[in-house]
Amino acid sequence: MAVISRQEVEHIARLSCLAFEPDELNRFTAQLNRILEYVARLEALDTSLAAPTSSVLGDRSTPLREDEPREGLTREEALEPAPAQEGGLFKVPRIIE
Amino acid sequence: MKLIEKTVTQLAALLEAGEVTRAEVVEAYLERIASVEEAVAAFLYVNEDRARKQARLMDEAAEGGAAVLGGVPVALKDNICTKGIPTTCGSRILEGYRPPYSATAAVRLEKAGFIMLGKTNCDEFAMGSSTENSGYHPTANPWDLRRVPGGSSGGSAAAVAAFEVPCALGSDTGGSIRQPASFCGVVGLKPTYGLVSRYGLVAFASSLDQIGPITRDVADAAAVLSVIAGHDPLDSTSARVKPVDYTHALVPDVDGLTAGVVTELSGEGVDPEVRERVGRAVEVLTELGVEVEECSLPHARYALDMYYIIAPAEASSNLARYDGTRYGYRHGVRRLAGTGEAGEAGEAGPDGVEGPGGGDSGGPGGSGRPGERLSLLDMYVATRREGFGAEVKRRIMLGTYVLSAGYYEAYYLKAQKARTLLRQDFERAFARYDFLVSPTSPTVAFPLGDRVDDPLRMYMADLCTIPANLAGIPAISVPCGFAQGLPVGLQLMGPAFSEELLLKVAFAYEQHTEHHTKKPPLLGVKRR
Repeated sequence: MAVISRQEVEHIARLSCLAFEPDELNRFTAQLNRILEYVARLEALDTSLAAPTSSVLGDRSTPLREDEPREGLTREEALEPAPAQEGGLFKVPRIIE
Repeated sequence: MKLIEKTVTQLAALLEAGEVTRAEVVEAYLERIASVEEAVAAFLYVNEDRARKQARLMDEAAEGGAAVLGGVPVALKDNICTKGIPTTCGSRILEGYRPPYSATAAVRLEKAGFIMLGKTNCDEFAMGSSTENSGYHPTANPWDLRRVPGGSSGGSAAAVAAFEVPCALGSDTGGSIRQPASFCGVVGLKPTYGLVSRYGLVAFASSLDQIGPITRDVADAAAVLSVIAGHDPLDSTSARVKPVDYTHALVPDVDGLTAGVVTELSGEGVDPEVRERVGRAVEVLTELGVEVEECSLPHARYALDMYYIIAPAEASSNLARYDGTRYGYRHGVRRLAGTGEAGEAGEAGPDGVEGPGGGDSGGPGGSGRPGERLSLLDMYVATRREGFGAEVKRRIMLGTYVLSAGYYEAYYLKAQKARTLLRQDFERAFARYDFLVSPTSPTVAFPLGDRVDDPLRMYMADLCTIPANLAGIPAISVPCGFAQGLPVGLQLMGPAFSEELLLKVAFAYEQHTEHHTKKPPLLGVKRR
């Protein structure tokens, strides 16, 4: 049985801000199922005594720095690569009618 | 020996002695690039004019009596930001992007006198094992142009192997420095997580990514690492370590060291010829006085499973930033070639966004009729579906799935716990052995096109390299012979911050073998 259905793939695509043509969706569903079936081998592993590793730096303390102002990018530098800008702001399609 | 065949160490000595000028060095490599790039296609951008200018300025300063450091060319993988110089990560979604800042590693190289010769091809956002996922073009393996150079830092490895540049930087999330180094017959070092600043390295999987050198010999790896390693306040995961001159570690004395050959990474799934070459390398280590035993990392057989849950999960979050708002490609907006400015004239609609009718695609991302204005969400979706390639989309989907409600514990949390078990395996092994040994890749370079339609088979190429990333430990790949005329790599892994030990062992091995002196024939079919 498939791990993930075509409908679920469509749902995940929406969550990911992606969209697929019907044939792409079929191909992705098949490929994701093969990958998920493979990694399901992990189910057999007893991890009940292990704490999760989210970073190998785990036991090193959270690094902090002095809260001092310093030079960053200028507004012009930050805006320069934008596809659209206006009045010193990033410009996006209208969101409020 | 031709100038382009000199190592970083040799070039630095020649430059310091004034026996050659920076301009001569830069011209020699630019000439080489011009003659072989058509076949190898290692670069996405050749930094010709700036490199020439920098070389000239340094030469003039030296003539004027100033103490000028360096002048050795270097290439950077295209996911390392370079101020004002195109940085695409091999993705169409960043086509034409010129970052407003440089990565710390790039800044350190420049300060040490390295001349940036160009940006190298890679799998899109470093996701891949063959460089075929580049949104621009594939790169060929200099040993056989019909084969892949490995990946994702395939452009860096191929450029170094083809004498287009004496050294390059790559990035390694699951083997992306070591595996292409192995396929191209060069040296690749993935440092300890946190040793080299990730500031300005475009994020793929932040708990695994690390920048490192790709060079033609071990001494050069030590020299380049000495420049790029060290604490950086701009990277909160950067380790607080004092600067080290790793070239001091280059003493070929390994007598009395102990090593474990990792059973799980050397048996099933590894090509018999690769196994045989690595076995011969282990014999050389034994002859040098290293005490070698078989050693088990029981959870290493699950490393690929953990990786293909954890890395996509982190990637799906990191790549959410590509939405056509602050940089890069936006659906419906054309950039004017060369200017870096949005081409509002003509193509873009009133909000810099046009309906699907006037753009290149009216697929599911769009909504409504030609000329109709897109909503913000539609713009995001259309931008991402057009800008990302298939493998990147696959990993974003996979990552979103394993992080989604109902699956988080079964996949992501489970993988993180398994990661702890693997780290404990390494801790136990390093309590007993100074370093561990395995093949770098289970096979030699495979033919171009061979695995592109089978993602899972492509993932298997990282079988031996992934464990070091999950554990955050350093690992180096050094050439250890040839199978079917193609290079084989030997991988050495050590505890966190054991780079000096790994370089020492790799150097001792290299001194007793001649594999690294072999030159690729650049034979095969001219592809383009």
